[in-house]
Amino acid sequence: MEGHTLKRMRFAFALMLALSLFLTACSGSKSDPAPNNTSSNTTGGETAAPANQGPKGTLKYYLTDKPTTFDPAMVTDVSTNQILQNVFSGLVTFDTKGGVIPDLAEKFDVSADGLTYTFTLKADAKFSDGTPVTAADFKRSILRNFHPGVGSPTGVSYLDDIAGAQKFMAAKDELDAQLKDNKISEADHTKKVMEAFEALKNDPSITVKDDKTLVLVIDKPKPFFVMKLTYPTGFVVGKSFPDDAPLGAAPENVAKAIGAGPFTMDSYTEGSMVVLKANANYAGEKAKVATVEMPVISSPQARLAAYRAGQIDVNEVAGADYPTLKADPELSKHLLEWAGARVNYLALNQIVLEAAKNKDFRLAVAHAINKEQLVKVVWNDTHLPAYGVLPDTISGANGAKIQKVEYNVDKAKDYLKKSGYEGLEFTITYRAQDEVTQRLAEFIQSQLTTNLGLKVNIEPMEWSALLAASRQKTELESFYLGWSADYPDPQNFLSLLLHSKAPYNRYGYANPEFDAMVEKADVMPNGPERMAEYAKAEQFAISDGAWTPLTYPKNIFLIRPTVKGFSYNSMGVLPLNTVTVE
Amino acid sequence: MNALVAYVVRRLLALIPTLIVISAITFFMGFTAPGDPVTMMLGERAKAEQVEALKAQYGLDKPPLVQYWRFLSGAARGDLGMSYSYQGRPVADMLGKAFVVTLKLGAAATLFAWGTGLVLGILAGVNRGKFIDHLSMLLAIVGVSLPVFVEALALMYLFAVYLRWLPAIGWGEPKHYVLPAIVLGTRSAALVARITRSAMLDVLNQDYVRTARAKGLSGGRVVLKHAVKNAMIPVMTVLGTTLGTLLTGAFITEQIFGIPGIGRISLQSIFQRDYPVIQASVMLVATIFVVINLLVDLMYGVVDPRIRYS
Repeated sequence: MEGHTLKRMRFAFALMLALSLFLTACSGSKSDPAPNNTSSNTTGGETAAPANQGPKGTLKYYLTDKPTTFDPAMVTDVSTNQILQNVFSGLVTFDTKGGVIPDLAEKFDVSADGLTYTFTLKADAKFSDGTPVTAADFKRSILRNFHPGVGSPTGVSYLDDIAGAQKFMAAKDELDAQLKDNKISEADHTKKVMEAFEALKNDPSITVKDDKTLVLVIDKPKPFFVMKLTYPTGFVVGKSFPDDAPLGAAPENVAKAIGAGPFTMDSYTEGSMVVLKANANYAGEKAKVATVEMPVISSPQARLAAYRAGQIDVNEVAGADYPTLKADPELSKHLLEWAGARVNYLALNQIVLEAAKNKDFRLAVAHAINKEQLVKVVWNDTHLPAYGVLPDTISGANGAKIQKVEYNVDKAKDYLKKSGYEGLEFTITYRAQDEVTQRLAEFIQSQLTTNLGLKVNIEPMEWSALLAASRQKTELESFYLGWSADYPDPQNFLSLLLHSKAPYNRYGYANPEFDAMVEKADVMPNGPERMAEYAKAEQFAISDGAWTPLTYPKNIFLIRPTVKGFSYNSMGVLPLNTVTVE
Repeated sequence: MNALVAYVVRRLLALIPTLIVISAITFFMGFTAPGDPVTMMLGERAKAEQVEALKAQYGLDKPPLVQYWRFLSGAARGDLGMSYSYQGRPVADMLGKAFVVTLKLGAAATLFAWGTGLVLGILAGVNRGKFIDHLSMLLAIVGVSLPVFVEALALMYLFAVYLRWLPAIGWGEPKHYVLPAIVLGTRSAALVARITRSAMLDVLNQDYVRTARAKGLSGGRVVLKHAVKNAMIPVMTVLGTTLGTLLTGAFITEQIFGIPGIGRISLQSIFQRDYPVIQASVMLVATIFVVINLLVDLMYGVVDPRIRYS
């Protein structure tokens, strides 16, 4: 009944399909670690031939997300920072111990009153296109952060210590309020803001003394000011950057993203791959590797597969994968861990939860959580237990010397009895992220329920909602959040999180003694006395139960043995100019 | 011919009110959800005054109706606005580039889904009850039950990590298409296989098939000339759905293989509260479905000469 024709045709069809799939596969396969051309279908993406001496090889790095911007004034996320901090540079940077060292400025002097900073640029400071970097370029780059057209979300936070910037922000806030109350028209508002911006440009707190000398005057003698200049908002950008608009992350903007860092941006395939090339004109330690390929791989599982397949040579390790990797005979040798600059904490909100105002209640909760067990059970030892506000990597941290609020169920019960809040019911809100965060919340819940007999409810909340709610201050009874260092100075943690008027104090902690300590330390000249003052403040906050620190996440990476010279610091963004690839 | 053109124009014009309604619903739903793009940008670092100031700067503090009107009048002029989360990027540009990527991936996945589905379905239908039938249907069940995530990682580990025949992630060259196209197309392939099998079984029992066989035509010719062509009509029904899904439902596949398509952009924009991108994505998806359904309806006319457009 079935003719041979039918059988043959069926077979032919199937074979054709299989063959076509195979051919597609074989046409471009087996081309793994060869550092050849990347798929850059972008405008202006030339691939320069690497020099015979000098930088060589390709570092196969990665990105966890596609870049949100090419503009140092606009960057807010770690992934984009990883690119921009290698393409752009500033006056200063920090070393592996968290201290400030010169970058494009060969030195800086601070006046006796701690208010005037004079930066002298390196004579050979150049942009990647060979044009010299001048003090005027720096002034322009810094001021851009305040231009309303640019709309920098972070510039103000990092640069508003400059006296003129404070004046500008005050004037702008006033105009914004007037606009909101309909006292002036939008056109008037825009005109007056621009007038204030012009005034800022002429303000004596930012002066170009000559081509290589820039003078900045701040409002109070805050020694952490120069630390804040290590963040991209203080970096210098090329003349191709518009003064009144941000430079978006687009393939056609690659040619405009001119900086003075150790690498140049060579190409960007939208959403998929960023390629950097060594910048021969960099005035600091020049890059040893010729090319850096950064494919966008959001999925941690896919990243690990890509690492195993040899497509990337560096990978950050997720907590869930850590035990498997440690047990792997080959990959365990690729693991590198070091301390980070982040603290995760549980905060009891004094504004909403009456009991949180009671120091004994706060200490009861703090003593009732077993952090050693927490890092094992929930985090697979990818975190360290935290007993202080400051991770050990931040100077001024008490570290191991701190007088701990340690896990002690009897003490906890005593404090609870003293507080009079036995049997209290309250809710802990946490980020709805993954099973690890879920396990964490359940762990804390079970500890407080078992050890103290409290009735604890846990409530997952979507990230954006949680951020908005915690910012409101009047919505959540208690919550789990964290804080990563913007710059490795204790002020960034203690003053910004726990001062009664601090912008990030979302739990109503207000203690005048603590306030006095950090206010004093914030304006002391840098040195051991300043650090000692912060150490005192940290101890005070811990003994007062301000909030309960839980863990310090570690940085854990897989690094292929062929990649050497990996310099790492606690800050989480890694400079790539010291890396070599065999 | 005129009737056909008029039909197409009518269908396309009906798209406009659809888009307006969809955009309105999406827009006002966005307002009820807590959070905003500025908060998402700044994350833990968002300070109350800073967020308010930036929202004002980006025009997010205006009343919803004013904002919606701005969006609508812009869209009418073809200007879909600027992204909030990706400052400096026009939404139309972002989505346009992503859509091209999705089209390519969707085309590859469709080729795989329909190629495999049709072959398996025809083989199964013609050889009912035999081994090849059972095998095809088993594959179809596995294909439809296997979660995308599991299949993607399994294939990635097999072909990229162990065999090293294909790259694990990436986009741009033909080799990057293979695994994602297979993963994306598997569920559709299974659906097509089962529907084709049923359609073939139906058709092979029809009178005209027995007539053809009685006339003495060989089995192969019977199948290809008469049976398959007639079986295609019901099978076409799913063409629209599968095409639509393949073009718009690729989020997990895109996420895992690192493919910059509209699946990722649209889902990420929701998470980031990037309202203009959410709007444009939803409108794009609606347009895709309308256009695809129109094309499928037109194809019915090609396959079945009895259909007229009045």
